[in-house]
Amino acid sequence: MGVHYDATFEEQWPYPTDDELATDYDAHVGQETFLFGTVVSVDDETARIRVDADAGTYTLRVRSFDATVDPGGTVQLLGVVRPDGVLVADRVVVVESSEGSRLYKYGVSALGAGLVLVAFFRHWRIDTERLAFEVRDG
Amino acid sequence: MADLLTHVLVAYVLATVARWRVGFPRHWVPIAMGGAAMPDLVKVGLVIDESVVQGVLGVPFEYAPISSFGGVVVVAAGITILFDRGVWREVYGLLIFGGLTSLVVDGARVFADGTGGFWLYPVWVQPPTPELYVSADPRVLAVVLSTAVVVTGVDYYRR
Repeated sequence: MGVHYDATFEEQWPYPTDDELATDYDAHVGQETFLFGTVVSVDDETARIRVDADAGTYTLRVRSFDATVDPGGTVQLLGVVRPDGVLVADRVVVVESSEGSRLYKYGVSALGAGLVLVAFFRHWRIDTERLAFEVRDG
Repeated sequence: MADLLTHVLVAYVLATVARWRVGFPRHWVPIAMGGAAMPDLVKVGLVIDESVVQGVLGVPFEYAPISSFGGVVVVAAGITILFDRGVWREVYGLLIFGGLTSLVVDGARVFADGTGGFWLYPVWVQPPTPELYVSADPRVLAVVLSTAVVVTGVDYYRR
């Protein structure tokens, strides 16, 4: 399934992918794309964004960047590919406004994992003879 | 995606309320909660990078479908066989239920182009998203957590 997904994704995804931009940037100039990236710096509506694609990591200069976000935060970008590593943003969505909000996300998720395990083993136990989960009595 | 705690609590709330209506035993609720955690196994990539799996398989590979309808159906089957054979049907159903709640919650987050991801895979469609939140938004958890507290309180008095 993981293989089929990878093999089919680029046909289904309506935009040039981050990998396609990494390998053949110039072929996609003028097209609209949708990327996730990490903020390196923001300076007066121009941001430097690092994109971690499978095919390699690269930096784009993003114009019309109208969001408030610290370096280290992550954003979604919808915009048009321009020559020389420039993207003109139509829309910027801040996903994580700083490193801190990423830590928050992972910390809270770890709590969630703990909660599932506690809730589960309050009601279930491992039957060591048959190696299967069974309901605890009463 | 929303954080894992949000996913688990949404399934807890829905399963508990369903239990009031249908009256199934309490021990089924954590199964739905576990089901809600299944799509988050996609984050296994934080531990074992895709490139490692790719090296072993020798073909390009992605974890992404774990967080999709197809992934839920497969992962739930894998977990169900760990249970006693007599409860497979209930366990599988509740795992799928929990997994779907997480996918729907995730499908409601903001995408800059207004359409969601391929979470219905293997059906390649991108459902529109109501754009309710971004994944690191603490307000989501605040809403879900307070709902869960209320539900727990009501559940306690119904005993």
